[in-house]
Amino acid sequence: MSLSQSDKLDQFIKTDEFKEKSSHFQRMIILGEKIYGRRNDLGLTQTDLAKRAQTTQRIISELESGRYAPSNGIGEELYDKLAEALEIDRDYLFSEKIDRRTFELFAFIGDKLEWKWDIMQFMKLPYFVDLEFVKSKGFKLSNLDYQRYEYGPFDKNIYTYRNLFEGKHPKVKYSYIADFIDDIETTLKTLPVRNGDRLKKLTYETAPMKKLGATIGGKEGWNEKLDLNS
Amino acid sequence: MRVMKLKATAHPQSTGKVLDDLLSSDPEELPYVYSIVKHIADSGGHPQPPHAKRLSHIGDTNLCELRPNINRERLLRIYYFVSPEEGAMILLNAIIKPDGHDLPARYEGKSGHRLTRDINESIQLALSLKKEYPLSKNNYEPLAV
Repeated sequence: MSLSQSDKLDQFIKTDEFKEKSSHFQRMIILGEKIYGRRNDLGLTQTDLAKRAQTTQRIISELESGRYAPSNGIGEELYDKLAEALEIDRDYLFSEKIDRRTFELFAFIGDKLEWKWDIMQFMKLPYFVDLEFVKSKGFKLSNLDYQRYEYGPFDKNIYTYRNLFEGKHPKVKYSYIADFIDDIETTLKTLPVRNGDRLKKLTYETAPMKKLGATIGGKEGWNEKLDLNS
Repeated sequence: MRVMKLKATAHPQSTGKVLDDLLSSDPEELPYVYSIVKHIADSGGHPQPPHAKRLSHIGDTNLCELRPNINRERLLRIYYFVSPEEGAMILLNAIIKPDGHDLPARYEGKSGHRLTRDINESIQLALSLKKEYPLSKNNYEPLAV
């Protein structure tokens, strides 16, 4: 019996070639969003950005759509120029651990706290926002994966994010979290946002931490991943 | 988030039919298209630019559009909405139209009017399919992304 077109499609997407290409595109799509978002922050057209980065509008368009394929090291040089043109650290573009929506979330929280925040607030506030989003909407707002560390929920990628903001307060237009601003603000209003110690204590009262049996000063569940659906 | 697509047999402009046709005409484009769908699904269906947008201008703020380009020349518009109670993105109908750096020029003149009309008709079809969705769930099947 011959396969229907839909069955052929189902078979095709299970091939290694398909999976490999998809994985590449996933990374490029995330990069494209970061370039698009940052260009939007600066109010630049694709042509403006191309001039700043000494490249062409077509390449900017391909990068933003996730279609650009760097080759022979040309990409490295281009990305350096792009980071400079976008007035942002190279890590913003290069690190696969950084995505645009999480970047905007940090920028929003930082702005709310007038950029006076320590690592405890920097880590715990997104955790509470994510927890509320999973409960009310079924998905996390950030791309952080929380593990139980000594000081509560933690993701070591936090340092990469922190480096983008420390001593710098990039002007950010919230195009990726725009629909969620009210929800984020509502969550922040319920929290002692300026008190890191109290935030830490509150994390221990959340369901994912309780599920691991985590207690302040205790070792239960150390380094284990937190299940926000708990 | 799960993804459901309108079956190929349910409508000639269904997402299922358009993807099946792409398998015949441009199979090398499918990994990119699927990656866009997966990325938006992983983001809770939120229409993140530049790969998706909300069609707020038509008066239904829940109808959105995925926008992967095909061969860098055409734009595949997949209309969808998010069903929070099902935790799913529902892909309705789809249409492929010109895209690229010369896009504005292509949407001028007589042929441009036809393109605009086709897109408007697709949006109307999407609205209609979305309205019928609660009573026609059998016409949808999972899309493995």
